[in-house]
Amino acid sequence: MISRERSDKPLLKAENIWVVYPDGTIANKGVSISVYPGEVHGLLGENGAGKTSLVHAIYGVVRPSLGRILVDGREVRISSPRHARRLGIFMVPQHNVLIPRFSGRENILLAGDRKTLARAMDIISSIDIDLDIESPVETLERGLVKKIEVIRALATGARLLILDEPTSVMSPIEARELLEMIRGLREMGYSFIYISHRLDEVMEVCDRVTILRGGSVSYVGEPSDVRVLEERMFREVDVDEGVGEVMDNLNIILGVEGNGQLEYARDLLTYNGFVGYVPSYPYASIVPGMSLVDNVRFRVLDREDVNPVETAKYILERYEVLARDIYMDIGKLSGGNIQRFVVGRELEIGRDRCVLMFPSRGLDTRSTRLIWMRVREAAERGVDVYYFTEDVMEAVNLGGVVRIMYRRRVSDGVDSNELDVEWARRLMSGIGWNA
Amino acid sequence: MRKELLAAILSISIALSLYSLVIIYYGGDPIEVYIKMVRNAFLDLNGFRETVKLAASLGIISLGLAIAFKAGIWNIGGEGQYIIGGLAAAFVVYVLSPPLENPVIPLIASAIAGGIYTSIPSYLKYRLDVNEVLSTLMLNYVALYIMFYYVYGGWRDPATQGFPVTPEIPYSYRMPIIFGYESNIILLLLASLLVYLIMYRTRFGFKIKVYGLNRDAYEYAGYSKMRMIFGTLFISGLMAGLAGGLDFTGNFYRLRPGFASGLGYTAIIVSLMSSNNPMVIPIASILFSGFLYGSYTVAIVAGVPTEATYIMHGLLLLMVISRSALDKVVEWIWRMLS
Repeated sequence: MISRERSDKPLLKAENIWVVYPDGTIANKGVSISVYPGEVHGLLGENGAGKTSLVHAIYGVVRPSLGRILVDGREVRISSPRHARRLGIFMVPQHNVLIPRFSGRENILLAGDRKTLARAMDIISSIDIDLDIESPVETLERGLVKKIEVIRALATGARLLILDEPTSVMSPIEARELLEMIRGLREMGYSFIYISHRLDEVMEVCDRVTILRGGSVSYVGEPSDVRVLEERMFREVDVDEGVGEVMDNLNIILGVEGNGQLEYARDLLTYNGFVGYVPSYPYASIVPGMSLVDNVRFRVLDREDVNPVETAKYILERYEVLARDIYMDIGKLSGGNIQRFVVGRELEIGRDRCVLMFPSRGLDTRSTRLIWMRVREAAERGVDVYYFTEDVMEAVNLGGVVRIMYRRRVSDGVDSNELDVEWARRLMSGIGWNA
Repeated sequence: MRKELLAAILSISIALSLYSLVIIYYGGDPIEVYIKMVRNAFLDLNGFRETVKLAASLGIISLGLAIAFKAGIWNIGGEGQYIIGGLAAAFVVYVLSPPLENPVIPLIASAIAGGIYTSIPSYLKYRLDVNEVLSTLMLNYVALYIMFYYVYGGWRDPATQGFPVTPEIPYSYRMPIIFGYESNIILLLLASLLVYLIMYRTRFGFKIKVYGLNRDAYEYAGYSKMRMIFGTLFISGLMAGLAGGLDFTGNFYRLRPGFASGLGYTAIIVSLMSSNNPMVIPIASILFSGFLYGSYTVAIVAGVPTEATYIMHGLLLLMVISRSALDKVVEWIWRMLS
């Protein structure tokens, strides 16, 4: 076992990393980061701040245009993820990478051999957790799947593990358990780069954080003060931050995805009138290869009351979609911009009803606030809004009637300003429902 | 646009150079052969007439295929729909023999028959999720053997003493000849305009594009999947059927086993090479049919078997489907130049 004492020698040191894409986008402007053995290093930043590019440079997915990377003090040119893994650097992406039909054991065996499995069992027993590696992973909770992914990476030889938004689709309880496991692994000397939007988690688990803003480092240090972190992370916010008045036609459905939201949304969509709909995977609602205008047009082919050109311009402006113009290919926009575009489009064309599935997921605070504002405006216009979210704080702040969803059950409505956060979290995790 | 052109030139050049090896293998001189090919197909009056005639049918099938391809529906059945079109035209002439003796009624019948023939793969795809590549391809053979049934059977011309051909149709049923050229080419230009209008000036055309680029988004917007599958395949088959009718009334004037010459397959290459652009397809099909006709005539001269021209088709198709790899080469050349 490696000593918990922080050595002076960083496991990974990246200096002055510049990542420039062929289209001219500069994602990293001289970023440096160092991770020591046995450290959980938080990597924070808004959407588009350059987090993904930085870890892609470290993981060998992209080649930095400039800068050097040292592993164990030796300079390396990481040419591919395979190369990175040979150096002990692994990455667990946001979405499930295991084979759903196979059990955890089989998935671990697939990544290596019997020795790998033995090492995995060692790790599991030394951090003393209960992990089901016999059932097919498709039957497991997402928290457990993520744990298996982490264990598998470590058993295959990871010393530094990059975790990209590991808790993004987990219930609070699952997230807490994962954090606990990470703390246990840290004691064993493993290092982590922990990418997250959730400041409370970062403060709980990270030893140090690096914050990126606009492609440069804006803060390195211990995460002791949440206000400092927020200040370094976000650009100026000129959106009204106050909790809005509760609106009756603003329905907030709070619950972890996969508890019957899709079926509920489908029912809501069979409605006579102009309905807007933001699916939980916004890419399913856009046509890459077509312009922004055409991406409005295909939604309103049978409608006379919407002018695609005007609407597209309006969306660009009002939803802060960073696009060259309305005639550019939507496929060239970044994920956050596509999401704001889709939310904007649906709120503008759904004159009677608008169903939004997790519209703020993956977005930074500023974008989230912007969407709240526009949602409230739509509700003020008289649109029946159905806003699905997994985030309790969002349910509190948005100002509407909150219903909690768990395993196809929907609770009674509670006004946002009267919502008991602890009660809501328990219901979301399945505790406190009447039989 | 210039990059696309460079890619097209590059792909054709690579195919031609590879084919040169075949010519050399048979003891010919590739440069001489290629020059002769161009001369026979484009500079010789009779040759050019054949080229244009061939281009009409080839282009019309390609236009139909382009609509399906644009929707991401892979109609490989152009050949079968073409044969069915020829059969329908023949049926009108031989069996119905309408009092109005002109090519219009046979042509309409051929188009409708070709369209209806696609309802089989459409239904299979829509209801049972059967891959249209397989179903349309298999139905080519069904069509082929239906034609054989009539050509070797009931419709065989007794005057030819055993040759499996149907009787030549009367002049009244034939496509008119204008200034020494078959008027077939006019239909190609009309079809090209029609497909252009469908693709770029109608809601259906817009929906085709959406469906082709992202089916999820198409269904998300609440549009009918059934209409898209049946609609695009129907238009596709309609065009191929029309081309079959056209070759019957304006080219061969009869059915024979060689009526199915693989035009429906060649059309796939033409559509793909033209990036499914209805304005480019007529040009591409004239070039391609000139190339086809030229290679047939030259084959005899150069001592290369006509069958070897299929190697050429194969090479061209290979170049078309390696487009993405080729694009990288083009990108590289582009950077070297600038």
